[in-house]
Amino acid sequence: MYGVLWLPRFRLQAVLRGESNTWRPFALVDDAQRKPVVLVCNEAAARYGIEPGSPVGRGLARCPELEIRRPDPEAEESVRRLMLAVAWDWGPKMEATERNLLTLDLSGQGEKERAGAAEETRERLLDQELVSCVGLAATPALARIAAFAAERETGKIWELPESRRLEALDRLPLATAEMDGRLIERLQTWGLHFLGEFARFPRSSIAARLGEEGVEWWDLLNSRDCPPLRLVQPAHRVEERQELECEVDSLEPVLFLLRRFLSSMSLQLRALSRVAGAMRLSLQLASGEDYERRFQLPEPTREEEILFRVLHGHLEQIELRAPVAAVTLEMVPVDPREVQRGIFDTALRNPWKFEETIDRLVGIVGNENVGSPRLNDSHAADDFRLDALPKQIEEPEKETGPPVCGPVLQRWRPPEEAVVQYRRDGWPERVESSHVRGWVTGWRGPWRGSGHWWNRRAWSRIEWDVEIESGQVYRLTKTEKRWWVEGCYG
Amino acid sequence: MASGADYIECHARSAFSFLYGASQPETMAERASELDLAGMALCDRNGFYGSVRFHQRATEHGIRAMIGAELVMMDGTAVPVIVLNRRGYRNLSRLITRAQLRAPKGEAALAWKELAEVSEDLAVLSGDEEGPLEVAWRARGAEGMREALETLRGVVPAENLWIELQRHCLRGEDQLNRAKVDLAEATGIPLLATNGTNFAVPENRTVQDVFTCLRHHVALDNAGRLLAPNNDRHLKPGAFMAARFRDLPEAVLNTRRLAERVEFTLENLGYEFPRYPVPEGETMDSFLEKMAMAGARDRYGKITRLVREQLQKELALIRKLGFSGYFLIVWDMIRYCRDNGIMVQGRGSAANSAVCYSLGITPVDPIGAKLLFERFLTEARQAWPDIDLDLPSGDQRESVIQEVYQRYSRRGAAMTANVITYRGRSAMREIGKVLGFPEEMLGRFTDLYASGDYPHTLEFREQVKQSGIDIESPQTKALMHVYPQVYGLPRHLGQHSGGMIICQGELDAIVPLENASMTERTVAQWDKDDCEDMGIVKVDFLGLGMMAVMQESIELSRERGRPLDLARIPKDDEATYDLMCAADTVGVFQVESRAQMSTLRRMKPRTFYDVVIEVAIVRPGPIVGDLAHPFLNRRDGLEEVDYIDEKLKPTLERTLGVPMFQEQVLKMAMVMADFSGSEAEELRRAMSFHRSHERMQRVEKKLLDALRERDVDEAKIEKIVKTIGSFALYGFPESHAISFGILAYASCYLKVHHAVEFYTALLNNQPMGFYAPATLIQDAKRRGLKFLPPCVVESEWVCTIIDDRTIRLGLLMVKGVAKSRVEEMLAVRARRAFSSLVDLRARTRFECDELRSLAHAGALNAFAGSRRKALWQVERLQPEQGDLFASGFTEVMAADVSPLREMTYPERMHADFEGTGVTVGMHPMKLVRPQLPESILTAEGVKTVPSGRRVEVAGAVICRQRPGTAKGVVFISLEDETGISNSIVYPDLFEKLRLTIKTEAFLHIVGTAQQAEGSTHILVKDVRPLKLELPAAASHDFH
Repeated sequence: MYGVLWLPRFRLQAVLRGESNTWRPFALVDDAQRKPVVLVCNEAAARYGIEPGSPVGRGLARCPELEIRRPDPEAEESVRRLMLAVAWDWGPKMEATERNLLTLDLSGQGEKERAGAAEETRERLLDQELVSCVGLAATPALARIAAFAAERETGKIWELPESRRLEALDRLPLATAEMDGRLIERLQTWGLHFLGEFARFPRSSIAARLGEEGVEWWDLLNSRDCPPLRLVQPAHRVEERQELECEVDSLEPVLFLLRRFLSSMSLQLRALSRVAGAMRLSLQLASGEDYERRFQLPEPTREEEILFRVLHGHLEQIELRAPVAAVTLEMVPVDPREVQRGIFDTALRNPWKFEETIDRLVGIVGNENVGSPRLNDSHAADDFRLDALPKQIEEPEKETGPPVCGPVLQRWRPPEEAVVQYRRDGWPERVESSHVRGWVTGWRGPWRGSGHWWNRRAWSRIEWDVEIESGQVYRLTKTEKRWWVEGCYG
Repeated sequence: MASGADYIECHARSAFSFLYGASQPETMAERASELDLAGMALCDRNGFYGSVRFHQRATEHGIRAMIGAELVMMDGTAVPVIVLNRRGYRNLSRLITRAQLRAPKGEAALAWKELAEVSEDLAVLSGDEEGPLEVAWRARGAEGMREALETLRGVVPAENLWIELQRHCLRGEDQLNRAKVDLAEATGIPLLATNGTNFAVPENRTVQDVFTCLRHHVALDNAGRLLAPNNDRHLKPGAFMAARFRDLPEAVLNTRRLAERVEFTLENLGYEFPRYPVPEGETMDSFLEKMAMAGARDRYGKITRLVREQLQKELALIRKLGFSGYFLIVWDMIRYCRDNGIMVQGRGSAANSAVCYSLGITPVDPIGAKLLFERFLTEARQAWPDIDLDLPSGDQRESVIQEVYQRYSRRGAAMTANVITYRGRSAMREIGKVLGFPEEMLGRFTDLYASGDYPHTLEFREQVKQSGIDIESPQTKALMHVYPQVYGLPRHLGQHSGGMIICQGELDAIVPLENASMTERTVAQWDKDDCEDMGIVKVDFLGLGMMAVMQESIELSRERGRPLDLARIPKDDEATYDLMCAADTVGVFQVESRAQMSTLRRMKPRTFYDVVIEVAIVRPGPIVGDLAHPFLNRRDGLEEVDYIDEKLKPTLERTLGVPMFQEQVLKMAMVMADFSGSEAEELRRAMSFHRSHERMQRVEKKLLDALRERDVDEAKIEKIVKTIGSFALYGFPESHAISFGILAYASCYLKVHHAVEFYTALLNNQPMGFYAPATLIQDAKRRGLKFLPPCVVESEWVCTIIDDRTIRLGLLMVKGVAKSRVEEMLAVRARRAFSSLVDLRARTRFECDELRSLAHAGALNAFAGSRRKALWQVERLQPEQGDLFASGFTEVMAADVSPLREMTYPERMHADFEGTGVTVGMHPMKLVRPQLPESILTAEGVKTVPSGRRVEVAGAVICRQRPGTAKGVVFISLEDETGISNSIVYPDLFEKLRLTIKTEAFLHIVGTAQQAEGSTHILVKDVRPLKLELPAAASHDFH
C-alpha cells in the first residue's frame, strides 16, 4: 500500500501562510508574463468563476476584490522542507515525487494504523497552516490520483480500494490524473470524461490509437505499474524566510512570525534528528538595508521556547532604522552528541572571537559600513557598495584606452560644506569652508552630471577643480543649492 | 573670434534615428528657430526618414535645412555625412538603399569602400562617441585615432572631411579633444564644432535614457553608464556654442563654411513621374485625348456638347499641368486589371473627373451627378491628383502591386511608409518595462485601454490608479513625466496599406528604400504626406474585401447560369431598398454597422442618392459638426430647412441645407467668399493637413477676411467657418460617397437577389467586414438559406453552392487543415472518389492532427457515419504507433467497432465552434434558453417591450463599439437565436464594468428598453457575465 501526501494550491498556500484573511478571494499571478494569467487561486476566488489560466483582467472583472499575490520561491522552499519533516514521522520510506507531493511506502502498516497516521500528518500540517490531501492506494500512481481526488472530498483523505478500483475511478474526471492536455483533449473528443471509462477500454484498442502514452496510462489505472520509490531524507538546511506583504515597524508582528518559523523549524530538526547549534537572523529593512545577527547557542537545542527567548531578548534591545520588509531565520543543525563533544572546535583558531570582533565592529560603525568596497556601474561620483569581505584579493582588471593621468584626488568623507562666491561669468572666485579659504587663481570645469531621475536616488551635480592662492587644488561640487569641497588633489 | 551667428548645428539626430534621438524633426526645427540658429543638418541613422518633415518646418521658420545621415559602418562605427549637392543626395540615397536592402531590418551597414564611391559629394564628419576616431581613441589612444583618421582620409577627399569636436561638460573630454586638435594640426583636416544633438530641450533627456534602455534591452536600474551622463545633448544657441568653443573659433567658423558649401535642399529633388510609352506619332497629351474621347463614346453613347466641353476643359488643364502621363499610366493599370479579370474601381476625388470616368478609372458620371471637378484638380494645385483604386483584397490586389514592381523595377517603385508611433499601449508597456514595473501591472494598465482609434476617456492618471500602480511613487512620477513626451514619437516604420510611389529614373535616388516585412515588397522611408509634400505621385491600391466578395458573387452567378452585370443592375429595385429600410444589412458594404443600421431605419432610403447620403452621414465629420440629426430632422419635417444664406441654396438644396460633402464646402467658400476653385481647394487641404497649425490658421484667416469684406453677417460667418472646419477634417467628397454608395447598393442588391452566391462569397473571403462568419451564417439562415457542414467527399476548399437555398461549407472552415493538403486531396478525389477512410488515408497526405480535426468537425461522417466513429477510425489509422503494439493491429478494421458513445447535440455544437468557428445547427443561445430565467428575453422579444420598461437580454457578444464621436458611450450587440439586440452603455457604467464588458464572450444585460423610429435599444443598467457552457464565436470590437 502506498500513501501520497499532497499540498494542493501549493504555491498559493506557501504565499498565504500566516495571513489571517485567507477566506477572501486570492489569486497567484505570474507577473513575468506579458499577458498575466492566474496560476492558481483559492476556493473563494474559484467561486467567482476564476480558474488557473484566466487572464488577470477577467479575474478582476468577475471579482473586483480579488487579491493578487506573486509566487514566492523562498516560501515554497520553506513549506517543502516542512512537509518533508512532517511526513518523515509517518514513514521513512519516502519519495519527494514533486515539490508539493510525497509518496510513501506504507507496507507493513495496518489499515487502522495507516488511517490514523494519515490523519495525524494532516493535522500537524494544519497546525502549520497548511492544507494537505492524502491518497491511499495499491500503487504510487493510483495513490497520487487518490490524493488529487481527495481534494474534492471533505475528509481530505481518500482511499482507492483495489477491489473497487474501477468504480472509484468512474467518479474521477480525466483531469484528476494529470494527463497531458492534448491527450485529455483527444479523449474528450471521444466522449470520455472519467478515468474509469478510459480504464475499461481494451488495452489493445488503446495501444493502437494512443500508442505508448495511452498504454502507460491504461496500465497505471489498472494497477499494472508500480515502480520503486527513489527514497529521500529531509534536507539538512533549516531556514525560513518571509517577505512581509506590508512593512512592519513594531516588534510584535516580527515575533509572531519568528514563533511560527520556530514551530516549523523545530519539526524539521526533529525529522533530521538534529538540534540547533546556532541561529542566524536577518531582517531586511524597507530602506534596503539588512540587519543581520548570528546567535551562537551555548547549549544546542530544538526547544521552541528557548530559541524564541533568545531571539526575543535580542530584538527587544535593538532599534531598527526602518520598518522590516522581510525576515529570515536560519538554524545550523548539529548532531547533539558531536556538538557536546567539541562545541568550540573549528578550523579557525578562535572563530567565536572573530565573530564577536566583527559583531562589535558592526555595532560601532553599523552593518552598512563593513565589507569590501566596489564601484557601481554609474555616472554618479563616489557611487560604491560594500560587498562581503572576499576570501582572496582579486587581480584588478586591466584598463584599456588612453591612460588616465593627473593628480590623485584625496576624497574627504564626509565632504565639507563650503561657501563659494562666483564671478558674473559663472566661474568660482572665492572658496570658504572650515579647512579651505582663499581666492581662486585657476580653475577647470564645469563638469555636469545627473542621473537616477526615475527614483529616489535622483542626483544632479556640477563639479569644478579650483586652485587657490596657496597653490592647493580642490574639487568643488554643487548639488542642488549647496557647495561642497569634496577633496583635494595631490 | 566666432560669433553666435557663425554657428550651424551640423550633427543632429531626431527620433527618426529610432531609439537614438528623442525629438520629432519638426520640434527640432522649431527649437532651432527659437534659438536663432541659422541652420541645422539632420543626420538620422541610415536614412532620410525625418528629412521632409524637418525640411518643411525648417523652411517655414526660415532655417537652413541641410540633409544628411549617420551611416553605420560594418566595423560598428557611425559616420555623419551631409549632402553637398543633388548628385550627392542621389548617390547617398542609393547607397543607403543598397545597405538597407541587403540586411535584415535595423542591421544595415556599409563598407568603407562604399563610402568612398560617394564621398566626393558629401561632407563627412568624424563623428562622436560612435565615430571611428573616438572608438579608436578608447581602444588604442592617440595612435589608434591617428590610424582611424588615415582610414577616413583614404575614402574621403581631404576637402570633404572634418574632425568633429564636441563639448558636453564631461571629465576626460578635454584630453580627447586635445588629441583631436593635435591631429587636425598635424594633418590639416579642419575642425568642426558640433553638439551631437539628440533632442530639442533638456527635459527630453529622460526620453533619451528610456530609448537607450530599450535599445539595450535593460531596465533603467541596470543601465548604469549606458545612460547619458547629463542632459547636455539638447539644441543650443549659436552664441552659447561660440562661447563654449571660444578657444577654438575656427571650429565654429568651419560650421558656416561647411554650410556654405551645401548647395542641395529638398526643393530640388529632381523627381519625375514615369513617361507612358505612346504609339509613334503621338504625344502623351494627344494619346490621352484620343483614349478619353474613345472612352467617353463608350460611356456616354453620344458625346453631347456638355460632355465635350467638360472633357476639353479637363484635358486642357491636365495638359497644362503635365499630368497626361500619370492618367495614362493609371489607365494602363486599370486595363491590366480588366484584362486579368480583376475588378477595379477608382474612388476618392478622381470620381469628380469626366476624363477618369471616360478612361474607365471611376464608375461615376460626374457630369450627370453634377460633381465639382475642382475638388479633383485645379490649376493652382501643384501636387499630383489623387487617384485611389479599390481592388479585391488578397491575392488579386497583391498581383496588381507586383505588376507595378514588375513594370518599374524593384528600385523604381515602392510602398509608402506608415510611421508607427508610440501610442497608449506601446508607450506604456515599453516605458513601464524600462522603469521596472511588473508585467502584470502593465498588463492591468493596458487592459484598461479599449481597442481601436477612439478618444480614450480614462485619464492617464486615473488609469494608472485603476491599475493598482502607486501614484505617489517616484517611479510613477517618472512614468508620468516621460509618457507624454514619448507619446507620438516614431517607433518603427511600417508600410502603408496600399500607397505606391513610382519614378521615371530610379526611385532609390529620390528616397531610400527598405525591405518591407512582406517579402517581395520594398518600402520607401517617407510616408504618404512626405511624398505628397515632395511632389511624388502616389497611387493607392486599396484592398476591399467587398470587392472580392462581389467579384466572386458575379462569377458564381455566371457559373450558375444567372449572369449579372453590376453596371447594369436596376438602381430602383424596391426589394433592395426594403432591405435597407428594415436595416437587414448584416454582411453588406458600409451600411452594416450598428450605427448605420440605426440611421437606415430613420433614413429609409428609397433612391440611390439616399444611399449616397446614408454612406456619408455616419461619419465623424457630420457628427462632430452636429449635423447628422439636422439632416434627418429636416427630412422628416421636424426642423425647418436653413441654407445659412440664400446664395447657398443651389449648393445645399439637395442635402436640405446641411452640407454633407466636401464639394459643397468648396462651393460655399466660392459662393460666399468669392474664392476661386484653387483657393477653395487650398482651404480644404490646409484644414485637413494635420501637421501645420499655422497653415490652417493662415487660410482660415483668409476666409474670414474674405467673408467680412463681403459684409457677411457674423453669425453666418461663424456657422460657415465651423462647418468648413469640421468637414475639411472628416467629410467625404461626394464623388467618393457615390463610389461607396454604388458598392453599398450593389451588395444589398446581391444579398436580396443573389443571396446564395453572396453569402458563399462572404464566407470565402473572411476575415472581412463587421461580423464573424457565425453571425453571417445565422443571418443567412434567417433569410431561409441552409448550410451543410464541411465534408471530405462533397466539400471543396471554398464554400460552394448546392442549390438556390443551400451552401456547402468548404474545408477552409476547418481549423488546422492546410490548404495545400486539401488541394492535393481534391485532385486525388477528382481522379477517383474515395471509397473509405482507409482509402482516403492511403491516397492523401493529411497529418494525424488534420484527420482528427476533420473527424471532429464532422467532415469524415460520410465514411464513418458519425464524428465519434470517424475519430475512432482515424485514431486507429496512425501506423507509426502501431508498430510498438503489434497486438493492437490484429484487430481487423471492419471488426473494430467504435465503443464510443455518439455525440450529444450540445457536444456537436461545441465541436462545430471549436473546429470551424461556426455551426450550421441552432444558435448556442437556443440550446441554453431553457436554463435561463423567463425574465431574459430574446432579441426579437425585446422589440415588443414598451419604452421605459425594465428588460433583460442575453447573448453572444458579436460587437463592442466605442465610436470616437459618441463621447465615451459604448454600444454592445448581442446575438441570440432570433437576431441581434443592441445595448447602450454610458461611460460611467462602462468604466465600472469595463473588464466584464471587454472580456466576456456571453453577456447578460439588464436595462431599460428604448423604442424610437423602428429601432430598439437597451439602456444598460447592469452587465453580468453569462456563466454557461457555451461555445463562443469571435466578436468584432471597438472599430
